[in-house]
Amino acid sequence: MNKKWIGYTIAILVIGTMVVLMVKSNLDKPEVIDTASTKATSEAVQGLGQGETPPDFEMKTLDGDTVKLSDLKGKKVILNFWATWCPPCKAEMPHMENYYKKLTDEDNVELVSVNLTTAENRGEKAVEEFVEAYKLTFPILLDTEDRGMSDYKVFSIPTTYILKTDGTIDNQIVGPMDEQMMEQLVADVE
Amino acid sequence: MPVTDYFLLWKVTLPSTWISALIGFFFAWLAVRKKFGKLVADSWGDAIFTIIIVWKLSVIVTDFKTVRRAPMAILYFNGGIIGFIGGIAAAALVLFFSRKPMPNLLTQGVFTGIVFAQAGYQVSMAFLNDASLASKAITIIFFALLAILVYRYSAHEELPLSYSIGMFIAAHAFIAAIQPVGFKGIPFLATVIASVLVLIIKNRIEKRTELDGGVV
Repeated sequence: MNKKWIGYTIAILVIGTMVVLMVKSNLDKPEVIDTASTKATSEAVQGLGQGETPPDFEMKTLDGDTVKLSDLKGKKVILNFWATWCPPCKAEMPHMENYYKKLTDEDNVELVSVNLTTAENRGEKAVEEFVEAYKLTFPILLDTEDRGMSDYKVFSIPTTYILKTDGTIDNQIVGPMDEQMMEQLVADVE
Repeated sequence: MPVTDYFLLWKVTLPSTWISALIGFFFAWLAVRKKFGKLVADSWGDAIFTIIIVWKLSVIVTDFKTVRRAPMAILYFNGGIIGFIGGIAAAALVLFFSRKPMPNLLTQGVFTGIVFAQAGYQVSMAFLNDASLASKAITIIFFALLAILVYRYSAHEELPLSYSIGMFIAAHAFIAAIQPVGFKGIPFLATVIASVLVLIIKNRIEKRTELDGGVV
């Protein structure tokens, strides 16, 4: 390979890159929101695998409100299971708070943070103290009926399910996530 | 379309990027060891070790608030793109100021390592993630071709390193333009910064050798 051929190759590659970028920018169309998929949930299989619909639940939040998972259809959902005594959950919480603070209506994302309250030694009190210490502003759901462990098979925490707008599972993450990872996971949801 | 798939290994979820990076680093070490010998391969190993350590520990700087509140965050998180680029810069410093005897063709060997690491990473990513068939095929064919060319010609001293680097960056830019992730993230930035640093190191070594009055 001589210098002349390398020069030609570089020139062709640079021109090729510019052509591809031009074609790509012309082909880019605004994203169409798939409203049809939100209606097709009855056809999805129940389960915890990718593309399946996870078990529905209704839980009280620390503030006394009630959240039902199936009511969130039409939104992308980050469903996170955690406990106050778990070190990786502690490391993840500031990232989750930062991510939550940046969310806007246009993002169409709901953060559902479920505390495994049955696994807490001091119950709700421990959760209240944790929320205050970490200055968390997102709603915390209290799993007082062991739904996380029995229905969602959460044996390692934190465990997070990313749900599509039709309510089916897009991804399952075991272990802590940082802000960038949350953004990436939500962006990858079809 | 997912750009980065995740895999559940034992009880931990790993992104495909980590798996691919490890494959790329190992693949690169093999190529450098076979083509340039043990000394250059050791330097390559030192550089990769530096990159990984800086990338991992730089979370202390990039996310000091979280680490202060939960020191265990050092175990779970990393410095992301800033940490990785910082790691490349640190590895360049380690290479340049190393007290080990500087082998002949060190920079050509390190450049070959960079190309093979990128090729191993990209080909592995193409297999592990979802993308259009065209995008996957172009990625695999181009990077495999680049790796073969660099392996064959990188030790030829009559071919200036700047030409090889120019071609590598131009080829990666072309492939990045086709890929769904484009120029975002670490891969393309790493190619540019690592290649430019290798070129700077080569020039510095040549100047130093001239001043010392001969090759060590």
